[in-house]
Amino acid sequence: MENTYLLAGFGGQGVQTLGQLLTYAATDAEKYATYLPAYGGEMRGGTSNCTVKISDEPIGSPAARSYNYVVVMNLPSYNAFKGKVKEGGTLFVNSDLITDAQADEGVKLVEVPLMEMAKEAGSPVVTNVVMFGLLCAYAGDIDLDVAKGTMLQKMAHKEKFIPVNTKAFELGVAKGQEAK
Amino acid sequence: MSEKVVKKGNEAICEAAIRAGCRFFSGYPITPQTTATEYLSWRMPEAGGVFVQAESEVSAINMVAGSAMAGTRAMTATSGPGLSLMTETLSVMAGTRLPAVIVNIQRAGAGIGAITGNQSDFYMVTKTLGHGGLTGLVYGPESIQESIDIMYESWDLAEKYRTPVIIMTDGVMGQMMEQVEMPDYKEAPDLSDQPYVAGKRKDGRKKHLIMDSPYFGPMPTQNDNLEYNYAEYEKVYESWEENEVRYEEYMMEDAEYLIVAWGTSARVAKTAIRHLREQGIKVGLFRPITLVPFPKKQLQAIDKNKIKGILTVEMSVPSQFHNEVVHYIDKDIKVEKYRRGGGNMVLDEEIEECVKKML
Repeated sequence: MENTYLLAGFGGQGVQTLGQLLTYAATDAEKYATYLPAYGGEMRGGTSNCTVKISDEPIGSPAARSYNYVVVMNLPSYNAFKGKVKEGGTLFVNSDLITDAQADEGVKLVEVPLMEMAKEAGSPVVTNVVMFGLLCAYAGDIDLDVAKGTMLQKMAHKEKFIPVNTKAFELGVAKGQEAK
Repeated sequence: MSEKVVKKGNEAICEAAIRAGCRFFSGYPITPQTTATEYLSWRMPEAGGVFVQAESEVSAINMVAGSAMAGTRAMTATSGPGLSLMTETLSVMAGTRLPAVIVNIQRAGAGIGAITGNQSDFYMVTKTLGHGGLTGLVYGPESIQESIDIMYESWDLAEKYRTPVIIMTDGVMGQMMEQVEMPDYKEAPDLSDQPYVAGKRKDGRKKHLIMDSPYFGPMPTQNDNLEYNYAEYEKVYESWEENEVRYEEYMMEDAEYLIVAWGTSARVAKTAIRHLREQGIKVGLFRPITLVPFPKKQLQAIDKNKIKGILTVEMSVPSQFHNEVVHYIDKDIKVEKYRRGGGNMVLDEEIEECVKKML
């Protein structure tokens, strides 16, 4: 079983960190995982994306033409990647920035008020941790306890960040379970 | 004890160099190599070595040559445009047979080209190192783990054969992350008695030569010595064909069709092969790991009675690797190509489609 994720947003929304978190957590959960960032001559506020693969077997290609799960956190990413979801896959949109989103036929749409949820967790910058919890709960690739442990190890270098990251993760998990 | 970690390709290959006993790095930042230079800027001093950010690749490779002449395990890393600047000294290093390691984290195209991964320096590195027609050992790993393993033994090979070693990764392998196993630290050997190492000998006597040179030898003139020594080098290159060829045969036992690819293209091909096998199509992979020496005999031995067709896969337009492979394949076997250029990646879905067209 191999799942492919495309994570996209604007620079600063933390999609690269989200991709790395998924890779670290999947590895901690004894799976195979690859993370491949798109890079280039970018500008501040421009789009940023990465591909993550998680599998029970060694992974060949770290890239894909279409994906099981596509996360778009801003409008340019939605326009660029909404058509990249495999049939039977899921498109997650940040509904705080993308209104009236639509998914292709055969693709499930999950609208997530990411910024609102991050604020509820206590900080507007933890949108990626919300999304991390959501993806772990929704896709089921990574054991939730393992995922939480990895997240706290990587994201909470300072004690004061532990409660907000924990809350963000849990809000994401709840939303992911509800959307399943 | 080896340790398992999730690491970025560029950082992993540099860490493997430190653990292999490398204690000198000079380089100049260039995408997609920059994270390698960044990593060693703190890691090399931490390990007790010397890191120098040079003002250009020309000076970086000259410092590496100088460091090798001081008996240190030295390396640099760069990408296409930087490698072009290094070629004069690479030629000198091949000519004086200096052991050092050069990592080329390939990007796309000629000139500035594009900064994303590609395999378009194949000819440049495998045909000759700079001017003069001499060469070195060239490796094309397919994964971060394999790049670590090759880096870890590269100075042992460089010193054994007195040759530069080139490791060809690319922007994809350099930037991606996956789980790897890091080897233990090993000590670099004492190289002070080597003829190419300047300074005092072990017995305390002063050396008269500060560098070894193909100008010196048993012949009466400089020209004759060059000719004589280069013929000796040729014997070394020929010995590589016997002793140093490395390759992987993946799902080849019952294969009716074959993909031939190296590096990142080969790992992508493995995904396509798994999918094609699920559909009952018997396809395998032949993957050169050494690009110099090239696995010529193994390619020549591919049986036309068993293999109905071959697809080469590479990230280079125009084709390079394909032309090299075709040269050795039985003329009765049809060889098709699938390649992407301009910094675009080859995709397993597109490989599948190309194989199905051959059926």
